[in-house]
Amino acid sequence: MEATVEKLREILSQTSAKNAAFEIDETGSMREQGIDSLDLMDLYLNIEDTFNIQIPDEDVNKLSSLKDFEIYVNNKL
Amino acid sequence: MLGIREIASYIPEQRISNLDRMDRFETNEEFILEKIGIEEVSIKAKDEDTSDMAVKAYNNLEKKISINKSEVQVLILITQNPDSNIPHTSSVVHKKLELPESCAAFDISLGCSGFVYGLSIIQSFMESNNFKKGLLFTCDPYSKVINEDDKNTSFLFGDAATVTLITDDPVYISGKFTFGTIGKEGHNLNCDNNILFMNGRSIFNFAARYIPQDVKVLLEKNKWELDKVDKIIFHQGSKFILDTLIRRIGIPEEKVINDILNYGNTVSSSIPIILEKIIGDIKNKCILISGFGVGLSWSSNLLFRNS
Repeated sequence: MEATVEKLREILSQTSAKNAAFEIDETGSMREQGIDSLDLMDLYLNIEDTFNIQIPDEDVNKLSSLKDFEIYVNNKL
Repeated sequence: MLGIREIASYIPEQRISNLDRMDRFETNEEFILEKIGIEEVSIKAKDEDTSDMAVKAYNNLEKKISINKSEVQVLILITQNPDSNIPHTSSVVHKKLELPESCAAFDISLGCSGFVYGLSIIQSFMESNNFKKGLLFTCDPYSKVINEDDKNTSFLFGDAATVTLITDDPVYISGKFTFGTIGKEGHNLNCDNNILFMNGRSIFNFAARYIPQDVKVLLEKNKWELDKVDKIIFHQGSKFILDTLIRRIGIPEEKVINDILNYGNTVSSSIPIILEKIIGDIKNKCILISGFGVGLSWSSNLLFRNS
């Protein structure tokens, strides 16, 4: 399964961020758009489970926007 | 048949407010109340030790039920923050309560899964020795090992003690238990040089992945269904973990008890503190309890009301 921004929004919407997942700018920092650290933790988990990949702690700080995740996940697949 | 007869707890009166320190940790009220779900954490007095807290829990138990101390045959204390390494703190509690010399006393080193493990251990120990009366204590005051500047832990953990009276005249009887350990992940919640460290993401991933599966296994093992469980008491790690489990397991929210707002995550005491509050409600025919954390380890059980 390919990672797309739309798919990532859907995964983010399953966290407590819910509707905000469909409103944030895909290139902007999620933290700066109100997605808190716990929702991001949930997002990492759901991405790992959905795409069957691992996101090590050292990579987490490099990932800020939905676009970052799209590129990162597709490089891992 | 052995089981839980009564429970009492001791939660120190002193609190540290998370709202008062939210600026220092660059967070906000909504995050503290809606996500972490802990407004303040309980903290023991400086001169109060683990055994003192256990004794206070016992004194509260005696206010609820008459206990002939000479009949107590075993005392087990779950703690990883004892008075000292030697002797075991259960022996100190034994002394302070003036229990008989014939009473067995030992500590068990476990964290958030400790109460459920302890329940299985004390009941098995009593059954194999034909004992009729035992006391299971939990007391793990993390304030002894928390770095107050560490947001990952100081926002979460509170101090408390509980004692559960196990007798052959029980109110709740245990069904089959589940247990598990992922030792290779144990470093994610550890204590070096007397300072607690927690990798919050690893602990969250562990709870979110393993506990839903464990609930399924527990129900299968007991040939029971989630619909027939009246209340669920998960270890109270944080509101966020409870909300995640509710969502991932697909449980009606009203079945899951959340009770950490005013004292925080009290480690092995979190489950019995809640159980104490609902033990008298006869509507609760079946209660699912599940503890998980340090180890990383977990244990779950179904408690059935004794009819």
